[in-house]
Amino acid sequence: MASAVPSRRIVVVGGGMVGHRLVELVGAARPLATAIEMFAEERHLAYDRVHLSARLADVGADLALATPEGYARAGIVAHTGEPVVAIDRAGRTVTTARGRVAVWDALVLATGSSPFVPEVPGRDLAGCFVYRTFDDVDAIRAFAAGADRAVVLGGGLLGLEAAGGLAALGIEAHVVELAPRLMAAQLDDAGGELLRRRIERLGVHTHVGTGARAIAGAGGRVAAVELHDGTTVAADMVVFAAGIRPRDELARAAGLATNPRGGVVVDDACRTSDPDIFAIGECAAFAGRCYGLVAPGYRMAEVAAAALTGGDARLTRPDLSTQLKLIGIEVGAIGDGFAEDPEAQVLTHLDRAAGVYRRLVVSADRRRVLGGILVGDTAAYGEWLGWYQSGAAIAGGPEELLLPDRSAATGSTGRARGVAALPPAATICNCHNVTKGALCEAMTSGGGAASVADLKVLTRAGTGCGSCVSLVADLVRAELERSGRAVPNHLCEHFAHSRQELYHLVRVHGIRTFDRLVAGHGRGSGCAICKPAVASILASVWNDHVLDRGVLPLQDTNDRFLANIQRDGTYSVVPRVPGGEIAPDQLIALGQVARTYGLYCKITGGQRIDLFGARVEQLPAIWAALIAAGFESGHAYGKALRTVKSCVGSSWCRYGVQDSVGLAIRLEQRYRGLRSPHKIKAAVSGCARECAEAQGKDFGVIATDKGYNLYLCGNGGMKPQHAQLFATDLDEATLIRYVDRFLMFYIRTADRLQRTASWFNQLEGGIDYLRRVVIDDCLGIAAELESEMAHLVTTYRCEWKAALDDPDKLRRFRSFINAEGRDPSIVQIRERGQVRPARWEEKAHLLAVPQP
Amino acid sequence: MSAHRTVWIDVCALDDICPDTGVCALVEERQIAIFRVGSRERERDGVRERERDGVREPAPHCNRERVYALGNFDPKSRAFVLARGIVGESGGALHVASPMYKERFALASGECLDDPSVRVPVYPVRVRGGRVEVAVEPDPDRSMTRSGRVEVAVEPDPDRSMSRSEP
Repeated sequence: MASAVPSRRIVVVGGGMVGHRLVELVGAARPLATAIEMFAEERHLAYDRVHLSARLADVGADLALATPEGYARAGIVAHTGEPVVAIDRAGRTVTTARGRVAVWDALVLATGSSPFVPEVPGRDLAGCFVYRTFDDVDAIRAFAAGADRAVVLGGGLLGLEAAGGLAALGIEAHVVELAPRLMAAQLDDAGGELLRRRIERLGVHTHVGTGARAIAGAGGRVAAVELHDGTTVAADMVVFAAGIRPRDELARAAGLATNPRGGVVVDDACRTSDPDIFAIGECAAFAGRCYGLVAPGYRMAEVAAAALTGGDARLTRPDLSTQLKLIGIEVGAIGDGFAEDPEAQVLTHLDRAAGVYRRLVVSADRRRVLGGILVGDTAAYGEWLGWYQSGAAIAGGPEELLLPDRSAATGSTGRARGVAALPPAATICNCHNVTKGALCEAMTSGGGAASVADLKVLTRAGTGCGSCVSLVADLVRAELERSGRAVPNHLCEHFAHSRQELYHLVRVHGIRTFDRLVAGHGRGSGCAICKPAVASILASVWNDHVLDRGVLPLQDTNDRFLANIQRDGTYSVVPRVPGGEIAPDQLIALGQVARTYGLYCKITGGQRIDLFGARVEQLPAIWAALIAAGFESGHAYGKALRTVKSCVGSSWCRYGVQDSVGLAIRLEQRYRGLRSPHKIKAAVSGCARECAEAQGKDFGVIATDKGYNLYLCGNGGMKPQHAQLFATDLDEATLIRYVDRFLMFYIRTADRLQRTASWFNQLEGGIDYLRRVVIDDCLGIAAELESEMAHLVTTYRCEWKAALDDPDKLRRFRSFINAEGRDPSIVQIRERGQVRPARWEEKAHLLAVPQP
Repeated sequence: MSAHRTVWIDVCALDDICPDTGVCALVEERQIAIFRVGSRERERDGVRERERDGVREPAPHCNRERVYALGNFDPKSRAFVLARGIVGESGGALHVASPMYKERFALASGECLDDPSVRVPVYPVRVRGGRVEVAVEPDPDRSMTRSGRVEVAVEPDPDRSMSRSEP
């Protein structure tokens, strides 16, 4: 070893993910009097290049890994937009493009790669781009605003990411791949073909086994791409994603050893042929090749950082296993997925309808995992990887690994048991090289961690690419269960139970009143937090009328008066208008009621009409008139299904492909009155133009020419959240079955006042877990969920109609228990031809306000 | 301040108020929120107890049936709505949560549990022969001291508990 003493001046060339990881590690462990100086070619400090497509969709996407403040705190001097142009090994300096000379005792090259642009005629036309940096995607996004069609050259992970990003911008995207299948390096023919089908279903066109012969231009701009197979694809832009080349030119010019196929040759301590110069990441060639993945790059950063801070770590041949999500489709590749070992045995599972492919390669004795390929569902990735990397003999047969859902269905903790079976040496987080043993240690003696969030802080597991988070969550659950610890999630001081547990108690013990629940399972007599929450649970389970004596005291004022309280103590009334479809006679009837009772009218965001300013004693008469006109309660007052909004759909719209209004009405009538942890909003759009904004709803449907795409867990309001694409091209029966199961699963498991979006964000395992529950029925509860929903659907009744039929319920609709008439404190002012409540200063002089 | 004779005003039958809810009474142009809390069903043979996991144990005191009266005006929202709030209990102290912004007001003192600088008036209330009666002082400013204690004389009622049993 050339120098056991830590170097004093460390210069890092390159400010990407791997360079950042290195300065972070050296900065943290840095002995005193060591200076760290970094030179980055890009204008930006390190960012998450793996998720570059997020920035294509949204320039505000937060992908930053480093901040100037963080670097300043760690004593790191970073120069951005200032590439190094020369290395002087004899003088131990580097020179930058700005002419700055920096002296080093140790130099680290983390120069990364550059995109490979093949020699295609026309590649210099305006509209040709590469896909590597923030500046690249910003340029692509700007150009795409005026473009309709794009060709992406390259069907590997980068190309598919780029195509997906372009498609999300509304561009017709074509992917051209020279190899006979997509992701040729990671997938076999069957996996590649399945991926191709799923990508086509998302509207991205694919051309495999062919390449670009030329790019045709018109007026200096891209006009079309001619392929080797004779096809011509009209296009306004071309994105090159045909691979990367290591940036080894500085090293080459400085006389360092380089690989014939590119890359700076390093040893197992990441040293180049000059022992004071290190190379890490995509520019480094170890064991004869370069590695274009972030995990091996991070490992190299750790090894080099150890050498620079007096430690000792060694590289082993990097594991190229990878797991990623392409345009929402999960793909995973582990070890020898191609079964190059002739003795190996291969098990495959292909479900074309579900779009899932699994290929597991095991040793001849079927005891060890040699590799695997996963497309469409990578739930098994972490477990397979654990067995592969540890080389341990697998528990049970390989068939159980191949079909984890089936084994999960047999026990409530199926997958957790899978994690529990892994040996301690199994790597869970590949990005940060965290083993199962280290995680368990952090949860016991080491750190007392009790959640995924704790483990992220203590071990960094799950903070890299994020693909291991569901596995970490499984491990947390298994460990907490094993040690008898539980995460407290008490509803309030009266119940040491979560909402989910209370729901379960109510159902299992057949509890129909708050008193019985609090007497048997709580303490005290309840409060404004637990009472409405329990009322909601009782309604979700039994569907009794919310004004029944046993539950009336539990209801918030809106439920108590079946109307929405307003600032002056009056209420607003919203009749149901299913799907937003309303006949002239109904409009007239609404107008007449509003005129009779002097109500202010406003169109709501949910395509209904809100009538404001009703006093409590007016509500029964107003509703009697509305019901006579054919209306029913709109449940705008409840934590319940509100509306299913729709666009006008194929009946009128020249673009519509399905009858969105018809479906919206059917859905609204199915789920009307459904009580839930929070309000539920839905929408149906008749085509991909999405005029009903279904992707911002708790459940949203977008019609396709083959059926319906279902989106779940979106949200508008305070914290807008884009819904998740859950399933595509469904027929109506399947759609309704999935929505039934989804809604009941949410109602069963959400916290109090938790919308589906935040429920989803806390759902460990995310959309894939939700799919497994709702589509694959991995918990074996689908039939129960459906029958619970069926009960609610069949026991629906209009709450207002039932109230009008019951004198006991109507007795409470009065302003004063001891006097007829109206509340004199309600004063209205006319404005823009309607009424509004008087502001306090407009009416205070009329009122005698009692002082304590 | 000397005690003087209280005038009780009949408001409604106790059974007009659904247990654990409030109603609003209009008394001498004042809006008074009256709450009926606890239920007779839980009082067995004069012994306050409840069944819990098959074992009988004393019920929390707040389960005993009582009647309280507060001003109906919610000082936060400046609307007359407190009678429509949810009745709750925290650490044994009964309160009503305003239906508007959910501030909690102690039923016994009118004190806002979420903002001690805010207070609503408390009125004497009792149940006689199944009828709810309240007393309204001509000048509410003089009905209470700064500490919120009621100064007017209230007759103890052996049959039903009330908001105040002693002066």
